[in-house]
Amino acid sequence: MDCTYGEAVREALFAEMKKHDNLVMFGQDIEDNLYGYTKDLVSIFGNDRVINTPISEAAVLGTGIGAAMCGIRTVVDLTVSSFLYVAMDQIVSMASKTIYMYDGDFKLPLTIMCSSMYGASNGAQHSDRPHSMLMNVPGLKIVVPSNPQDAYSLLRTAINDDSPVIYFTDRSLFYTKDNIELDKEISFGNSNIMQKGKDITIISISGTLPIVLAVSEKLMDDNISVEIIDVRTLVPLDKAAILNSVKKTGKVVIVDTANKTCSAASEISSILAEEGFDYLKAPIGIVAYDNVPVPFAKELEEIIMPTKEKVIDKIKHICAYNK
Amino acid sequence: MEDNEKRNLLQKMIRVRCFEEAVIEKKELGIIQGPVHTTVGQEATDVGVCVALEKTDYIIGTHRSHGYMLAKGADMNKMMAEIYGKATGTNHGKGGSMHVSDSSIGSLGSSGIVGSGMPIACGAGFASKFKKDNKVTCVFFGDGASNEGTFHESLNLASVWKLPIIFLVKNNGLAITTSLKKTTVLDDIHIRANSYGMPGYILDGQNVEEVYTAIKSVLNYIREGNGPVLVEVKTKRFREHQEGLGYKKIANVNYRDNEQVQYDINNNDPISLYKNKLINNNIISEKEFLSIVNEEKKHVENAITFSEKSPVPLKDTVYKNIFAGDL
Repeated sequence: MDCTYGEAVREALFAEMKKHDNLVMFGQDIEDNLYGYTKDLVSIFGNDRVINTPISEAAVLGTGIGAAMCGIRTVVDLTVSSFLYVAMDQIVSMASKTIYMYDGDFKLPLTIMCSSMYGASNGAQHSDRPHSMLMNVPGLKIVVPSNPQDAYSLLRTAINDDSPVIYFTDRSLFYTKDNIELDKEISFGNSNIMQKGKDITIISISGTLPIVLAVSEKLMDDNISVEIIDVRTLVPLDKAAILNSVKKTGKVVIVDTANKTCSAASEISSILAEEGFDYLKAPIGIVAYDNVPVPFAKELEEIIMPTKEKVIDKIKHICAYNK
Repeated sequence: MEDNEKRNLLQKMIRVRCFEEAVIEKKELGIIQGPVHTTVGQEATDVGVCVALEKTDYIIGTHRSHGYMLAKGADMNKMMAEIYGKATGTNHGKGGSMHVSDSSIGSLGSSGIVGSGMPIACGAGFASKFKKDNKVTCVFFGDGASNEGTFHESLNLASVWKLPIIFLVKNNGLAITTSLKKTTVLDDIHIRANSYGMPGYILDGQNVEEVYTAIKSVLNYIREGNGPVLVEVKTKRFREHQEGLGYKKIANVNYRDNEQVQYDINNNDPISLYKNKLINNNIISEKEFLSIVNEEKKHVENAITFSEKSPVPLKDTVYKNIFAGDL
């Protein structure tokens, strides 16, 4: 079916609510579909299963954990990804450690949904992209879909997982449209090679994909053949695909919406330096947000964020590098 | 209450005390590693509450959870082995004293982050309401935790959703060494129940029968679908916050009235108080009491032997169960 990224999220929620009688979704303002991906869910499944919560992120996250420990498959929608911080203790000290501390005594079928809303003049507090922060927490799976099909299939995989998953939607992609297959399954840890190429590998994370695709078209004019890998999930990370690609091209640029320090890009860079050193014919390139709180004015945010121009410059620089 | 129920309460308190005394000894000898928090002096709460609960009811503990587990029926050998960090422990050496837990007795874990159990209780309560399984969740926390945001968030959420939860605050007046008076204007935490539209009760935490009877009636109220209750149990911490030689150094410094502590140990020990009551009412004899103590000591000795003979966890288990089914 033809649908937008946001509609794909809704289709996945609908399919899973239908599949599991014991799937419950908690969130702020979800009954009235304020965010556009819970349309009609409450009228179809009832407000025993689609539940508006108080603005109490810690209590609501804990509710998701406790319910999951007692056999309820749970989705907690935190809406804006900055709101993860309000529930951080429940995510880090409880959700991520419950399976391990009690050595498998509990399953934890919990999906935490949130949206990274950068590049839209949302100001410093509502523009965070904290996916890499949570990569540092063992016990959490981190999902970063870049297109409607992945948004759909990966959310379904997340909801069926018996471990805690943080599912980051990217607000800049919400209205991208595509034809999706409703029965297509995508498992975690399988990246997507979006385009084959031989000169350089570009690793794309979630909302950076449209930039990377546009850039690769432009670079054809310069006779630069680009291989594009969309990671799809950061935990587990498809290390093998990344290393194999760089083994072939010898050059790599990683594009990430996280703040550059301790970004997903810097982690991938670290893996390449540690395990793929012999493959590299040039330094590893990273294009990410500069380490600046996001300013309100569009013209200021554009300075610090990944742009087509920055990605092209970085690719050309790396491609021109000779040892 | 039947006489055998009363004897059971006494026996369970003795069991917890004997267990804790053995743990203290092994901790001071350096045989047990890591932080250990005992419930000595507070047994009437652990036992009064957990014996009143059904085995299928849920409990959520704290860093000080040995008493809850034992009173709810945990296997003593496995518990001690967990505190020893052995493969035979309840959590196979991954939890330790602060996280000892066993789902087969209804435990949903013990969390050492102050106040973090209350949100989990909301989830368990939600699950019971959703599944209509008639279970009640009892979440334990201290007076210190009642100043965490999670206390207020959870009481509000549980109340508005009418969840079957006992919020059980054990008020021993101390957060490590900081007295409640320095951090909280109210002397009594249960008054806060008013703000969340739920009943709040205060109980004498040195009186096991009072705790047991009150919790039984609270459970009836909750099982009728009336929503959560805040129960405050006023109790005494006879020991330091943690066991071990490090904490022994701060014992007797003047963060609390040490004469009062000694007075309470001599006059407000929940076990002595209850033993005397049962003897005065001819429910047990001094001889029967001593035989219960000896029997429990023997159980604990067996648990120590079991733990000391148990193997340490296999090395490759460290990478298992990071995620579900990750065996």
